[in-house]
Amino acid sequence: MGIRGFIAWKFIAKKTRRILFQSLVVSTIEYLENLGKKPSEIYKDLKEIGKKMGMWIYSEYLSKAGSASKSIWDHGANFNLGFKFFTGKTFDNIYYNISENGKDVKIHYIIKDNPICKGIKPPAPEIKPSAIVAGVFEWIEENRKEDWSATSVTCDEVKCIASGDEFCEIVFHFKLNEKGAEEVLKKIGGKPQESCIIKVK
Amino acid sequence: MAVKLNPLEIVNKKVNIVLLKSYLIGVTTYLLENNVPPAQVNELLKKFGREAGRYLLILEKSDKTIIPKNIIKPSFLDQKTYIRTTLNLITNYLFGKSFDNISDTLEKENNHLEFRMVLLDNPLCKDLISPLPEVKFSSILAGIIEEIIGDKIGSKNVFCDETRCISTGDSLCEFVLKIKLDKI
Repeated sequence: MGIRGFIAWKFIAKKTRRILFQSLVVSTIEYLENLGKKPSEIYKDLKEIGKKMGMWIYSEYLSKAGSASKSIWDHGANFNLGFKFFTGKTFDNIYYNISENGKDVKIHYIIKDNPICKGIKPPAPEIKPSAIVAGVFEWIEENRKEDWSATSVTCDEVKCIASGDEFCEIVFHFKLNEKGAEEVLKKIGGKPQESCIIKVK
Repeated sequence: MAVKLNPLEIVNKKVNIVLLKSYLIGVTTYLLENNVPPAQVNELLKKFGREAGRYLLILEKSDKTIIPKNIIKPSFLDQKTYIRTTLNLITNYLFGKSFDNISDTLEKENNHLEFRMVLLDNPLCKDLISPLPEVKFSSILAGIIEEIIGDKIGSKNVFCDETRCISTGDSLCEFVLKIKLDKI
């Protein structure tokens, strides 16, 4: 990612104050709370908002950017670049966790100083503000899952500094068919394995 | 327990304005799909803006200056200049851009002072298409202005609305700020 992300953030991105963005997220959570929604429902609604953001971001920017992932192995670097372009920060760690002989692929994105969540104190730990990021990620990949021979894809924030965790962790979960699993196994040496971890960053 | 944001943890940090715009699209679409009437969506955006304004005031009051402080009670003319300056400081702080035009009128009959502010190329609404003419995305900014100007001049009789918006097909974004005066 390195220099591309730096240039994109430093010279291309037009910026605004983070407090404005975060206060909108907080106001939305407050609005949903006042409707009497449960924390798990608020999480789902934030993710839903994220998916709508993803649809707009994709149609307005990513579809014209011409640097979409060519395989599932590009997701580590590409979503990191996207996160940098929108927030000015990169993830601290990214790794793939492959199991079920290549049929189950999880991509973990970890960040301690998450610009979306830092400073926010939700009323319940289930309300994780980066559900919106997970929603953006999920929408983009849901629309490309056939490209990776995936039968399903989900993305969720599973740990969050706003809820008291040490870091925020966003996890992509791909379920692949035989063909997709074969591609994955080729990448990791061709041998069927029960479980393996590949570190990207 | 209510959700909280500590603005002091994020002083002077920035994000890509596209993130903010996409959030406006996301939250507006979400509300409309959940059968919130368009006029109420617009009111909610403005309410969210007022809340953002309160966070900006917290920042300012803790020495992270955004807007000039220590105002000596200005004369009437000075107060107008002060309000114009404050309006430009708000948009400069948020988007790095002043209003392209600010005019003011004293309406003696209705006992209020009215400012009309124009942004020709509003960074917040540029490239956005509102799903309905009633939904003006910079109602967020109107809410911020209402909250900050109200605080600065010590009045609750301050009202601001976005009256024209490039995202709804107008050629510019226009805001009307009305300040009800105690006496003229």
